[in-house]
Amino acid sequence: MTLSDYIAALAGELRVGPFRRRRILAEVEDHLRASVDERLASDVPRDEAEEAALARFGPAEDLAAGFNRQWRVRTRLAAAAVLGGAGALFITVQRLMENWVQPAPWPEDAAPASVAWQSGTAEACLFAAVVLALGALAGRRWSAAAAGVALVAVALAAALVSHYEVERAALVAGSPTNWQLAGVCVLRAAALLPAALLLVGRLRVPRVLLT
Amino acid sequence: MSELRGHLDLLVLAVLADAPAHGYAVIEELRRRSAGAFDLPEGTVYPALHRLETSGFLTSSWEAHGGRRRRVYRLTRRGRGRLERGRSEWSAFAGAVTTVVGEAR
Repeated sequence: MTLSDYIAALAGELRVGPFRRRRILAEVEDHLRASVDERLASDVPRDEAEEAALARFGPAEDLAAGFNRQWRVRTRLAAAAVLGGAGALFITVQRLMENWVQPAPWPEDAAPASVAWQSGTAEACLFAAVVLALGALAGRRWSAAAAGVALVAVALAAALVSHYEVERAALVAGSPTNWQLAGVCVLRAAALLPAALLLVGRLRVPRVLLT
Repeated sequence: MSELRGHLDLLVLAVLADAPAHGYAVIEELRRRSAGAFDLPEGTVYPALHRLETSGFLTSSWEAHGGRRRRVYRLTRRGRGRLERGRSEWSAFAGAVTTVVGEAR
């Protein structure tokens, strides 16, 4: 195994966030290169120097397991908090706008069919995302798949809520402009980004994409 | 060497108490100070360094050394406190074990 093979193998085994992954790989590569250079300075051939350095460093699986254990706990707590909070906030805001803020947006308290299914689907997505996220954080076997689906569900819900707001604004006088609503969408996406990054850390990245 | 793993955090803090260092230097210093007795796989030190940093006992930054970027770790005030507590606990524990087991004759 060459030094590059080892780094690729480690990248494939790591289940951490993208920033942490980059830092770990850079640190390990720096260590291994220093170790190889030291042997090369003693006139050891490169292939032997790399083999010896890797043998001293230990298996990539063991190293990755050490990092993955730490990351799992942090990811579970942080992603659950962010996703749960985002879901609860979205649902609360939507309910507030529908029921308590006057004037009521829809004629005779009946929302158009498109709005009804959009807001219903968005709420269902958010609810599913929170449940899936908690499931991903609690278990191991399906955690990567559940985290991925939760992430897609949150993104879909955010898109539906944004569309709903645009439709509502078109009907209610004094509503925010489309530009203002676009700003809200950007802020919403930014708020979801930490959860997305944390959850991406839980996904299994195909090794071919990392080499 | 498996019994060493439970004490690795304290050993790393002790090595970094004297001067900031990168991972490679930490593992070399551990080996040197123990006269080769603590000959762990070199990679073992990195999860420990990251764990200690997450706990607030270390800080780290990239620094350039001989045309190469290295992550250098240094002890925080909290880390120094943790090291002092760890030293006291270890002395008490080692003293108690020695009392029970007895000194080598």
